[in-house]
Amino acid sequence: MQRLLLKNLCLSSLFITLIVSCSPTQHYTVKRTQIVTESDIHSIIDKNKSLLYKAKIKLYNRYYSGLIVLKQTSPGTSHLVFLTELGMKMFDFEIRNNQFKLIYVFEPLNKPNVLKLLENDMKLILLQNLLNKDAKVFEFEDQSKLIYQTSSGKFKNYYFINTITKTVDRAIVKGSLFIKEKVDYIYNDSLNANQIKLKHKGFIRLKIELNNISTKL
Amino acid sequence: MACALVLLPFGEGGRGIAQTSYISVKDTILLKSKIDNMSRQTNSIESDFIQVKTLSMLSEKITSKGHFWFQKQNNLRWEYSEPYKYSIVINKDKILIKDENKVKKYDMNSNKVFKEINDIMISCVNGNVLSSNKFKIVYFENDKFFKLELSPNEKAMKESLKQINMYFDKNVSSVVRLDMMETGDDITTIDFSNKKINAAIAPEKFMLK
Repeated sequence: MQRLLLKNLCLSSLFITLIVSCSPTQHYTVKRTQIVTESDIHSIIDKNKSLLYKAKIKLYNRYYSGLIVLKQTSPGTSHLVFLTELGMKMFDFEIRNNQFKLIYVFEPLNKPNVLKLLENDMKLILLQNLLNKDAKVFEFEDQSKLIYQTSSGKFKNYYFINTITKTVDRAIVKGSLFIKEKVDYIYNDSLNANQIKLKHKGFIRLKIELNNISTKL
Repeated sequence: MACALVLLPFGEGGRGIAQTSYISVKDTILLKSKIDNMSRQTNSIESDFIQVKTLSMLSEKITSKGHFWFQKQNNLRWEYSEPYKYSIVINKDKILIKDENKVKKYDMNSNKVFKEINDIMISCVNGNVLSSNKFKIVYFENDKFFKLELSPNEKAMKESLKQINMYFDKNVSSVVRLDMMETGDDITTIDFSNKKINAAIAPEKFMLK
C-alpha cells in the first residue's frame, strides 16, 4: 500500500514538473498588464507595401498550395487574399478594425468548417488575438524578450516578442494543459517575416507554411 | 465557373494591346476561317509567358513568369519559374501538379472542375472555342490585332467569369494574349513571347516526376 502511494506521489510530481516546465512563461517574470497597440509590436501586415507569400498547407494527408497577398488598403483596413498559383481567387478576407470579414470565397470551398479553421489560423498569424487586447506582460531576465499573454475563451495566447525589433518570434495557443497551436516567425534581413510556420497539435493535423516571395520578381 | 480563370494560352509580348481602340470586324466569316485554319495547322506550341493577376479592390498586380508547351490533341504544360516554381501538366485524361518537389496526380474524369478547366484550356489553345456553344463571341480589330470577346453562356460560368478576351496577330498565326475578367473585376492577363509553332516537343514534357 505504501509502495503504491509512493508510486502515485512520484507520478504526480513528475506530471506537475512536466506541466510547469512546459509553461511558455518559464524563465520569464510577470511585470504588468497593458493594452497592446500597433506601436508595441511590428505588424505582420506592412503598412507601406503589399506582401506576397507562397503558401503550403498540409491537412492530414492532403497537400494544398497557393499564394497569399497581405495588403493594407487604408488605415485600419487590410486584406488577406488567397489565390491559386494560376491566378484563381479562393478567399478574400477584409480585416477592418481587427474584425475579419469574408468578402469572397470560391463557391466549392464555401464550407463553414474550412472557413472557420482558416479564419482562426489567419487571425492567430496576423496577431488579431493580441492587438488591442488586454495582455499580461512577462519579461525575460535580460529584458531582450517579452511575452504578451492574452485570453481567448478557454485558451491562452502567448506572443513572444523581440524587444529590440518589436517583431513577433513565436505565438502559442495553449489550453489548461497542452499546447494547441504554435506559430514560428522567421526573419532574414527585414522586419517583415520571411517565413511563417503554423502547426496544430493534437487532433487536427494541420500545418501551414508561408514563404515570402514579395521581392523575387 | 471560376475554374475557367485558369485557362492560360499563348502570344507575343502584348503591352498596350488592350489599350488601343478596336472596331468591329466586318468580315467575321473570313476571320473565323483563318482561325480555323490556324488551329488545324498548329500541332504544337512552345512559348514563354508572363501572367499578371490584377486584384482590383487592392489595386495590386501579381506577376509570374514561366514556359508553356502544347501538343495536339490533349497535352499541356504550364511551368511557372518566377517568383515560384510550380508546374501543371495535362496529359490526355490525367492532371499532374508539381509544387516544388511534390507531385500530385488527378484523374480528369473523376473531377468535374478539372474536366471543365481542361475543356476550356484546350478549346482556347486549339481554336475550337469558336465552335463551342459555351460562349457568345464578338469580333474586333485594329491595325495590329484581332480581338475576340467571349462572354459565357452558362449560368454557372457567369457567376465567376465575366469575359475572356483573345488576341490574335493580324496574320492569325497564334493567340498572342488572353485576358480573363472575373465578375469581381479582377483580371488575369497572359502575354506570350518567343513562340515556336510546330517544333518537336519531347514526350517527357508532358510527364512529371
